[in-house]
Amino acid sequence: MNKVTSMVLILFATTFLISCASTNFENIENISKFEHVEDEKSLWKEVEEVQKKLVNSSAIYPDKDLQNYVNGVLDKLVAGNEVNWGADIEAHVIYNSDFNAAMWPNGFMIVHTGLLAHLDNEAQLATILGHELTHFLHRHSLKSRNKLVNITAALGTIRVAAVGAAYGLAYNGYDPSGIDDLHNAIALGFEGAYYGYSRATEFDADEGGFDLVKERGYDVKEAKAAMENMLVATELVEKKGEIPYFYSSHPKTKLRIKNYSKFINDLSKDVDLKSTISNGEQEYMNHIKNMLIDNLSLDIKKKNIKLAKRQIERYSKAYSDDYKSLYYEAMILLREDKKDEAIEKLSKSKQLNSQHPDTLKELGVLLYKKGDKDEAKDNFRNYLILQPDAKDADFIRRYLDE
Amino acid sequence: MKRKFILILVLFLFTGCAPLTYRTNSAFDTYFKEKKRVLVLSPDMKIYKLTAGGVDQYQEDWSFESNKYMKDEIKSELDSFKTIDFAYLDTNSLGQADKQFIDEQKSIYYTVASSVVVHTYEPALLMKHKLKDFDYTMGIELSEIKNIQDAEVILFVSGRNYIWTAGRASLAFLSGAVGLFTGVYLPVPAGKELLAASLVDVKTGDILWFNYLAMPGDMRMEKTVRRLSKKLFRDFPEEWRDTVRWELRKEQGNE
Repeated sequence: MNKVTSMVLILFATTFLISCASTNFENIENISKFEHVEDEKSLWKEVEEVQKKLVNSSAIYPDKDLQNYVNGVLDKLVAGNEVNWGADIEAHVIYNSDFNAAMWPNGFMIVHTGLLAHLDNEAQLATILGHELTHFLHRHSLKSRNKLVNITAALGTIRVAAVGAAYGLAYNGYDPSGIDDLHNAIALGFEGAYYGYSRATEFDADEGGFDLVKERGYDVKEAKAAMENMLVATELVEKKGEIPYFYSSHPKTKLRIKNYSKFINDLSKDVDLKSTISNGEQEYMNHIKNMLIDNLSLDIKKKNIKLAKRQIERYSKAYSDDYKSLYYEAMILLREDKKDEAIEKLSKSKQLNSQHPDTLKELGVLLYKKGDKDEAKDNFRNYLILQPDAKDADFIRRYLDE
Repeated sequence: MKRKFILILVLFLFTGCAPLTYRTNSAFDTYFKEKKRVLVLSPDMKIYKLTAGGVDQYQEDWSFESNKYMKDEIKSELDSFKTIDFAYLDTNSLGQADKQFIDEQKSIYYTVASSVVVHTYEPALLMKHKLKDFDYTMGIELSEIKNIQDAEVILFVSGRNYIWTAGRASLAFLSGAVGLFTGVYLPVPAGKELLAASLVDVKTGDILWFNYLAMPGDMRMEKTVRRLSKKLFRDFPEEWRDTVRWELRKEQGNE
């Protein structure tokens, strides 16, 4: 290797090295007094701006009781350590039927109604919250961002070096075409490394979340059950392209179930797995009652009928049928073109609550189509009394005047 | 080789020069014939670190400093308009909802300003009809600012700066060197930098006057910010200054 080549190589290596950002930070739970590491404060500040907008937007599910309950469970996991972590750890329920939850770098957590709708109890909720909390405690956002900084820097440096190398080869009479393939292969390798890292952080969060569930005394088997619930729900998604996989960037749920089985088996060798606190099934179901109905209405809109049906079944099992559940059952039957059964459900819904405008309107439409015009008109009239300014009010009025 | 180098240098210098021409909408000429109450919002300066691989990282401390410098410089520039009383909105004294409203308006302004820059300044993407009929608006929602402070015109100032890390600078140098030897230059682009100021009609949200500086330089530095604010307000319409002064003198019974 001649002097020029050595110097060029040293220059490229230096460029890459000074471009590197650290990914090796202490986990927050291990620090006695929290201090921001480099670039962390700015990252927090950046997300705070988006957070402010989100908190005051209609994306938040407007159920204070559910919000408080979720944060109560989160508080159990945090166990008063927040003061040492330098952040306000708070969860917000987002009105969205996708199976998702996320932790922002500053301790701001979001949990979708779509995820809550498929869990059975508080222990399962604690598993999800514990997973997300671990992302915060292990500074995964910052580490992932810095990993991206390093990978893109390496790719940029290699890209420029590849041009130089190809020129050098051609200058010395060799075929330079292999350099392009080599560059592409390296780029692919780096991309794989990034996704591998992202996957590793998810497994790390699973393990951390599992430990928190165990330490707070919940039944650890419920951690695995939460994933199994997700698997069942995921398999019912009909519009797979439209609804992301549970934690879309997460490893496959089956693999995660396997991991949770391993965590449980490893633990059962050393300790008694008996839980010390209740799994809080009844309490959980009490808090998600209204949300379950609202969330399934989103799935119906998205034509995820099987998924909506599962939620209706869970609703009917946990609570007795009410006018809302009967209404949505009718909506599902309509999607399946079962009009007579839908009329039956809507009539029952009307018996339980004759003041629900949607029930009256749908019943009116179905009876009109069936030819029962007097009954249809009765329902439409009552609908207009309740919703005189509805978008379709004029249209219905014209029909009634005919 | 020497000639080629000089040509590249000249081209580089020219692309670095920002056009100082401002844009005005059709209502502007008559708009300021009457005295208007102008509310000055604190500037919206955001400074990012741009890494070798092109990842931008927001820098809180740098942005804080830049905002502080720009706020002081705007005030000192506007103070030279002896006959006009500008009102300055102190967002620190506002409640959470009002603060958020102001932040939202600043975000909207930045989005609109970016579009103005692309379509009325950048030669490659210039829309001639937009230049001829400058009709950009932030929307009527801006009028709700009256619930916070009464004003007819708002002055927005927005800046974005992307500071290269040593790694990026080194990569750019290497790329240039490789390009010089091989003839194949891989560009290491700068971020989408800008510094823009506008007068916006509160009632309609329409942009009345818009000025922009491309590639403003390191806005973390007080000296740079001072130079930039002078440039930015040097193009404040003279007609407007005179009209307002005249109106005020008339009001005071001196005309």
